[in-house]
Amino acid sequence: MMLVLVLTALGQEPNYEGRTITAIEFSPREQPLAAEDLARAQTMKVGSPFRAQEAGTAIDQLFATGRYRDIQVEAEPSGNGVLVRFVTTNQQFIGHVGLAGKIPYPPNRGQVISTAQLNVGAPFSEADLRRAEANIKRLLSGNGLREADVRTETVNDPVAQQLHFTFVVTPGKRARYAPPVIRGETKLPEKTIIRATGWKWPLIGKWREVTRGRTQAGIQGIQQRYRKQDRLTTSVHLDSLDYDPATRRLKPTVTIQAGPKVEVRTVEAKVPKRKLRRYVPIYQVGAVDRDLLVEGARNLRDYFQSNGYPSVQVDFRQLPPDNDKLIIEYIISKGPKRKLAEVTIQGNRYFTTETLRERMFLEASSFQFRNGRYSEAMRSKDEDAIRNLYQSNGFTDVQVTSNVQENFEGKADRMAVTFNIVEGQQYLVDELSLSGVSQEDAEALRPLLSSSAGQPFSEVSIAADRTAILNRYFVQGYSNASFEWTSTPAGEPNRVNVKYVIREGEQQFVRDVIVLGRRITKEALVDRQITIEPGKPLSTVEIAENQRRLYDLGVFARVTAAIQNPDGETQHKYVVYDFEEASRYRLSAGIGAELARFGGTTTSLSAPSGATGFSPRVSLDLSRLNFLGRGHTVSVRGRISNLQQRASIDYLAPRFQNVEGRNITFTALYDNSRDVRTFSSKRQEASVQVSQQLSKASTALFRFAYRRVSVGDVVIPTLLVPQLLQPIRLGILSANFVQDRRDNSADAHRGIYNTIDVGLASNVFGSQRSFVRALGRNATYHRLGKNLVLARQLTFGAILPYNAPAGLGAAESVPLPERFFGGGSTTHRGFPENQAGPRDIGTPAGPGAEATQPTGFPLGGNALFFNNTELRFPLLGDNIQGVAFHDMGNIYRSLSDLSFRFRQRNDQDFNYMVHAAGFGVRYRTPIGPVRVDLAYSVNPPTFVGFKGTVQELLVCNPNNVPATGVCQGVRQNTSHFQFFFSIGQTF
Amino acid sequence: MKLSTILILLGSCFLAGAAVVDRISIIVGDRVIKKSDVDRTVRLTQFLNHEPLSLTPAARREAANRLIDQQLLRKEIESGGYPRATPEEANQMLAQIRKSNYPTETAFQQALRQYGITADEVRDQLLWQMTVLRFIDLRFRPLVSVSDEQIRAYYNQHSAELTAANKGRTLSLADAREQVEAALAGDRINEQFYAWLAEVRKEARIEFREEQLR
Repeated sequence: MMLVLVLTALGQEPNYEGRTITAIEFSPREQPLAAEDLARAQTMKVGSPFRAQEAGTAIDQLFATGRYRDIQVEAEPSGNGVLVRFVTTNQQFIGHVGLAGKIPYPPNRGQVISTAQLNVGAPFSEADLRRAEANIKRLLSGNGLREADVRTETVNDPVAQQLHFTFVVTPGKRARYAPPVIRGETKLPEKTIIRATGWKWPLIGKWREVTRGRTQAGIQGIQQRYRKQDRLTTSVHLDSLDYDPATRRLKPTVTIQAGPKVEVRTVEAKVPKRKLRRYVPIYQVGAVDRDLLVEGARNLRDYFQSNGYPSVQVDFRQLPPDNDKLIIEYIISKGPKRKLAEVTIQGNRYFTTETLRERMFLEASSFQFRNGRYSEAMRSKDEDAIRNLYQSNGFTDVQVTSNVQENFEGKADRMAVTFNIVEGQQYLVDELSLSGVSQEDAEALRPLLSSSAGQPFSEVSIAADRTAILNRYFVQGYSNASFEWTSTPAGEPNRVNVKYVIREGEQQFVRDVIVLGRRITKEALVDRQITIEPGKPLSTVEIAENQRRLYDLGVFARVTAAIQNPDGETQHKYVVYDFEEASRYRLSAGIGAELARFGGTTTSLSAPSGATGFSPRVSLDLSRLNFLGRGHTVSVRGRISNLQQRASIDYLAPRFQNVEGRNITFTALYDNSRDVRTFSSKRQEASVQVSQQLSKASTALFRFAYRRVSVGDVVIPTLLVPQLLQPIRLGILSANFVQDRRDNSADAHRGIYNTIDVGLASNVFGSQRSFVRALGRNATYHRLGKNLVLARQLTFGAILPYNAPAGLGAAESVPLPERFFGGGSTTHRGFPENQAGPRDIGTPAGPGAEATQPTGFPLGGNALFFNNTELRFPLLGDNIQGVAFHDMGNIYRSLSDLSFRFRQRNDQDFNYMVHAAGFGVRYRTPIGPVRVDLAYSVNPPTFVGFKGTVQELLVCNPNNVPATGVCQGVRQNTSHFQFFFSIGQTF
Repeated sequence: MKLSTILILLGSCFLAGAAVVDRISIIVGDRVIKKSDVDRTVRLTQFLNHEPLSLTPAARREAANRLIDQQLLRKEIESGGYPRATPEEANQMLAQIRKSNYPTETAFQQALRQYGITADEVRDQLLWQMTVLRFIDLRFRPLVSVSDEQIRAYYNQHSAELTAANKGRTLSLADAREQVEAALAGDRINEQFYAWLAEVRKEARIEFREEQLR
C-alpha cells in the first residue's frame, strides 16, 4: 500500500494489473446511457482481475456511443483489490432551434433558422454555435440589416443532454443603396447601368432598401442589359458593399468588363433569331467557348433533323474579333428534305411492336408530325430504351441497332428507319438463396421479391428487391442493414443462381420520444400523431411517417424529425421532433371574372336562352389555423359577383376521432345565386359533414344539411304561384361516394371516375318537402394506341318527390333551387349554361283559368341524363390537342318523362334527347388544359318566348282582368352553335 | 528515507487522489486516441527502430501525431473497403525481425519486456504497417505516371548516385530505366499521399484532451 501511494506521489503509475476489482464507480453517478447500452460498452466486472487494456477498451466503447465528451479511468486501492472509477463528461446535443425578435422580410424566419445549420440531434460544439451566429449575421447583413444584433439564449436540458437555442435578433433599420461605384470598361453610360440594377426607384429617384435578392438581381440586371446588346462575354462583378453607418447607406462597387458584341449567324440555311437564342447556349450561359458552340451545333443539327433534314451537317467558325464585334457563323448544309415515312421494328418476339413503340421518340409522318419525328439523338435514345426494356427482363445479351434507309420506296424525299433487335436468350433465375437471415425471415421476405425462381434475371429486379428487403429491415429498426448480391451460372443453360447476402446489423430501439418547439398546440394532438414509442424498434420509416402525419395537421410551418446522436453506437436512441408552429391566420383574396351566356337585363324577357354576359368576381377568405391549439381550422369565406353573393363559416376538424383520412366539417352558409336565368335562389344553410378516405382512390362522405331556400327576382307568371315563392325549409341527409382511379385528374388518359350521391329530404329531419335525390356519374378513359384517348361519361340523376303538399303536383313540389339544371361546358355543350330541360310554357293560374303567357325560361327538372363521348388526339406538337365530341341528353320534368326520343314533338315538349357534336382544342398548361369547344346542336329545343319587358308581360297576363297589354309570343330556339372557353377537360 | 520525506510523500498521495489508469488524449472524428495508445506507439516505434526507450513529451507528441494520421487512414481504409494484410504476412515479418535482430528467443523476449510491450502488439503493429503500405499503393499508384522525359532527366541528374548504388557499375539509361521509374513513382506517390493526408487532416475534427500533446 505504501509503495502504491509513493509511486503515485512520484508521478509514476502504480500497477494494478491483475488485482481484483472490488468496485466500479461512475462520476457523475447518473450516466447518459441506457442501462443496456452501458452494460454493453463497459464490460469490466466486480470480482474480475483488473486489466488496463480492458479499461482502454471500455473508454473506446463508451466514447463510440457518442454520448461522452471526455472519459478518464481512475483506479485506487480498495482493501485487497482495486476500485475503478470512470470520470466522464457528457456530450451535449442540439435540441430546439428557435428565433425571437421581429425580423423584417427578407429574410424569412425559415431562412434564418436554416442558415444557422444547427441540426437537431447532432452533437453540439461551441464552434457550431459561433458559426451559426456568424451565418445569421451574414444573412441579415446581406439583406441590408447591417446593424442587426444576434444573441443566443441557451437552455440546458440535462435529461436528454440537449441544448435549446433561441437566436434573439434585433434587426435594426435596413440600409439603402448609395450610388454605386462603377469601374472597368463599361461601354455603356453610368445612368443606363444604374437603371439596369433596379436599385433606384424610377421617376422618384430615391434609392431602394437593400436586400440580398435585390443586390443579386441588380448584378443580373446589368448582365441582362449587356446581353440585350449581344455583349455575351461581359463580366459583371460585385466587388464590395461598403457601409456608411452615418447615412445608413451601402455603396456597391461593381467592376464591369464589357465584351464585344457577339453576332451568331447562319450560313446556307436560315434559322429564326429566337431559335438561335434557344439552341445556341452561349445566350443562356453568357459566355462564348468552344464547348458551348459545339453544343449549339448539336442542337441545331437536332432541330433540322426533327424538321425533316436527316442528313444536315452543322459546323461553326469563329471569325477574328473586329471593331468590337465577334462573329460566330454556323455553316448549315441542310441536305435534301426527307419525310420519315416508316419506322420498322424487327426481330422482336418477346415484346410486341406496340409495347416497344410506346417507349420510342421516333415517329413516322402523320397529321401531327408532317415530316415525322426524327433526329439522330432520338434514334440513339430509342435504341437505349429498347435495350433497357429487354435487359430489365432478363435479355442480358440483347443487341439493338438501327439503320436509316434513304430513298425509301424509290422516292428521294422519303426515308425509313429500321430497328433491328437480336434478343438473345432470356436469362431466368434458377434459384434464389438468401443468406444472413433466419429461415423464418427468409420465408417472410420471399413474397416481397421479384427475382424468384423462374422469373427473368435482371439488375432492375434485383435493385427492386434490394429496396424491398432493406425497407423491411429499416422498418424493424435495423438501420445499418446492408445488402449484396452475387450470381452464378446454374446447371441449365441461360439459368442463373442468385444469392442475396443480407447483413442485418444491430437492431436499434427507441429510448424515448422528445417533442420540442410546441407552444400553443395541444400535447394530446401531437401525441396522437406519434405512433413510435419507447421500446419499439427504431424504424426510420415510421419516424418519417409520423413526421408526415404531423405536417398533415397543417399547423406546423416546420417539422424536423431526427434521431439524436445518430452515429453513436448505442442500441437505444432518442427520437426528436422539433416544430415551428405556423402562423395562425391565413388571408387570401382573389379577383376573377366569368364570360358566358348568362346575361340579359332583368327587365327584358326577350332572350330566355341567355345573352353573352360578363360577371366580375371578388373573393376573400380568412382562416384561423390551429384553433385553440387543436389543429382545427375556422374559415370565413366571402364571394361577391353579380351572379353570386356567398358567405360561409367553416369549422374543420381533421382526423376526426383520430382516424386517418376522416374529417368533420361544420358549415354555416348564406348564398344568393343567379346562375339560372329564371330566378335567383337564396340559401341559408347549416350542415355537418363527415368524410372518410377509404383508400387512395375512394372517399365516402356523409352529410346532414338543414337549409332554408327561397327564390327571388321571379318575374315570369308561372312561378308566381305562392307555394313556389314561399321559402322552404329542407333537412337532407345524404351520402356520397367518390372513386377516382384516373392517371391524372386534370387531364386523364386512362382510368375510371365514379361518383354517386344519394340524399333524403324528409319531415323526419324537419323538412317541409320530401324527396329522394340521387345523382350518379361514371366516366372512363381508354387509350387507343399511343396518342388517342377515348373518354366517355354518363351522368344520371333523379329526384323522387313524395308527400307533396296539397295543391302542388309531385314534380312541382321540389323547390326550384333544388331541381336539376344543366347544359353548358361541362354537361351538354348543345346548350348554353343551365338552359337544358323544361321551360316556361305558361300555366293556368287556377282551375279553368287561361294559361299565362309562355316566356320560355328554363324551369329545371327532376331527372337528368347526359352522355358525353370524346376522342382526344394530338393536333400540333406536344402541347396542342384536338377533341371530337358528341354530347347527348337533357333535363327531364320527371324520371317517368325520360326519353331517348330524337325529335321534339312540339314547342311545349322538352322531354327528348338533344344531340350535339363538335370539335375542340386543348392547349396544355401547368394548371390543366385551356379549352375551347365549338358545338353544333343537331336538334335544339324550340319554344315560345315573350318579346318584351317584365312590365309588358305582367300587363299582358291574361289573368289580369281586364287584360290591357298585348302578349307577344315569339317562337324561338336555342342556337345550333354553342361556343365555350374554359380551363380543364370537360370531364 | 527520513520520516519527514515519507510524510510529505504520503501527504502528496492524499492530494493526488486516485491514479489515472487511462484517459482520452485526442479525439479524431468519432474515435479517440488514448493515453495508453500514445505510450504503446512510442514503445513499439522505438523497439522496431532499435532506439532506447524514452517516454519524453516530445516522443509522445510525435507518436500522437502519427496516431492521428493512422486514425484518418484507418477510416479511409474501412470506408473504402481496401484489403488488409493477413496475420500470416505479419507473422512472417515478425519472424524475420526476430531472426535478424535477436540471436535467441530469450533475447527477443527480454527486449520486449524492456520496452514494456508484447509480441502480439508488435505483430499487430506490423500488420497495420503492411496494410497502410498496401493502401497507399492501391490508392495512389494509379494516379501517378512517369514520362520518358522525367526518367531521362532523373537519370542525368542522379547518374553518380545510381552508379554508387550499383557498386560502381555505370548503368545505361535503358538498364537503369526500371530503377529510375520506381524511384520517381515512389516520390510521386509519397507526394500524393502526403498531400491527401494533409487535406483530410485539415477537414477532420481533432480535439486534444491532453494539452501537452498539442
